Amino acid sequence: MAEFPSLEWFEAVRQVVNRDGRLHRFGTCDAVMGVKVRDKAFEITFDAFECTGARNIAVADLASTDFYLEAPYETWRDMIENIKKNGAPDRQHTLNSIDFVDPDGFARSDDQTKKDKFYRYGQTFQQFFNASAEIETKFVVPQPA
Amino acid sequence: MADTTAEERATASISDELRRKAESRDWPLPVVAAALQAGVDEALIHEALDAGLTPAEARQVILKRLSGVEKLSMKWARVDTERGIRARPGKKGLTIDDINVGSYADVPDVWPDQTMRPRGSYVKPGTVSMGYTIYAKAEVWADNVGSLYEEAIQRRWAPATDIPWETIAPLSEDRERAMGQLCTALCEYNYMVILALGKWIREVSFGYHEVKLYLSTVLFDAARHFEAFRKRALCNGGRLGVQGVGWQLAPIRDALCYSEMAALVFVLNDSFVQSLYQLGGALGHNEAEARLFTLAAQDKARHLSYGVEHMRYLLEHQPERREEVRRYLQKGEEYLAKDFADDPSSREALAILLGGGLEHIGEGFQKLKTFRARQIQSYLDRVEAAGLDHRGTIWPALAAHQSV
Repeated sequence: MAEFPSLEWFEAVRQVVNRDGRLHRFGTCDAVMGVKVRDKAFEITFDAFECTGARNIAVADLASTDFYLEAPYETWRDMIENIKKNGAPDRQHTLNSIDFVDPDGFARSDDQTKKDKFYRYGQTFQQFFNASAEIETKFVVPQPA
Repeated sequence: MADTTAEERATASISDELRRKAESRDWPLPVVAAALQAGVDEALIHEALDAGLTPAEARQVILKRLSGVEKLSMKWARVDTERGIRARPGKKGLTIDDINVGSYADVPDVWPDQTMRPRGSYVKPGTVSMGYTIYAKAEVWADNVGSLYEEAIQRRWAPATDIPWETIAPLSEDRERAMGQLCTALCEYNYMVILALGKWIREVSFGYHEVKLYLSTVLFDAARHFEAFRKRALCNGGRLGVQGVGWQLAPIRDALCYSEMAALVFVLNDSFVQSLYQLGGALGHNEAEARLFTLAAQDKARHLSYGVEHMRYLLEHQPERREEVRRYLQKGEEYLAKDFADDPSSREALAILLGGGLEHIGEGFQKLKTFRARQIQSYLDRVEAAGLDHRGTIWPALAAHQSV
């Protein structure tokens, strides 16, 4: 069971999504995606048809990613639990929907052309998080009573 | 002294160098010998070997030569183009950028040829002009255009089979009409893109084939979007809506240079359409709508990537055109703002979709204000990324939508 957020969790998801070449059918993707959850930051790299790396980074280094996803912890938890429940998100829990309803956006970057990679490769990133349905996740912050 | 066979005697006239090359290409030596005996110049046989003729092709050509059916010229194989190119596939396969090797990678700032000669091939004197009008690289180029072409091919999708149309379910009449109206507007816009690109692709000279190839994919994307949104409008008991006022389309249709069209389509209007696609994906009433709009948004983001990179390239290489480009954008913004003001159909349909139905249209109009402000913010961010600070010069009537 991998704890969210942790490098172990992202690495486990990366292994799943690369296991059967499922990203191949979505086409090529070249992007460095950052993830910010509470005070932790991660960098996930996509190259051609696979997710080639996941690593811990300093929050300040998110600026060097193409874009990074940031949302309250509850939003992350809802999304991951929803994906686990259905194998894929319902329409309210897709990356696109979360980005649309958040006034600041889920995907963030100082460079709009880099941020546009979030939309350009949207199906690839969604597939990455959908792969989390195939691992067991332990949340570091318990669900509020 | 060993006896020599007839074949050995026949092939004895072949030089060692030619013999080695022929054997390395699996050409039968008797065929080579027959060609030499028929008077074919040895240099021409070398050329044929280098050109990659198979043994079967070589035999056929030489037999024709021997039977007098056809004189062997081989002049085509002696042209002064760079040889020995061995492009290698990378992680994405053998891409259009991978084959830009040696002299074939040279994309000149000005293409000198009016014919449809492929870049890197030999100039044939006397070939007629194709009537292109764009010979300047800066007018059309973007450094990412080759990779965008490959991406467009790799990430293609088919509305008929990639959208789960079976998930479409009846909607309330107001929301179905609103969706039909949004789809009508998107069909209209994509049709305009098809017309615009159809006009401009033929103007681009062949030296910039990456651009021509990429624009072909955009044209196909626009056709796909037209198809997909028309299908959505007509698959759920609804209908197409009313034709839009169409102010925003007029300057695209009337653009007098490529960079004007590119600024209007690939930076200004695509920016606003991209937001509509995201809206459609987020508010989708069913899996089919969510998938349809999200896939269209992927394509549109690719179009924007070309638009921004092209504008950046143009401004870096022809900085004297900065104010000209700004004027193109302002013209488009003026017409877009007129659409916002004069066309209630899109405005009201969006408010119904954003509010969640006609009974919540007031809330929908409030959300539409926020949506418009965000559209403009993203647009200005893209223009800035292209190297043009436009925040203080955006057309006032459009800028007015920035405040929520």
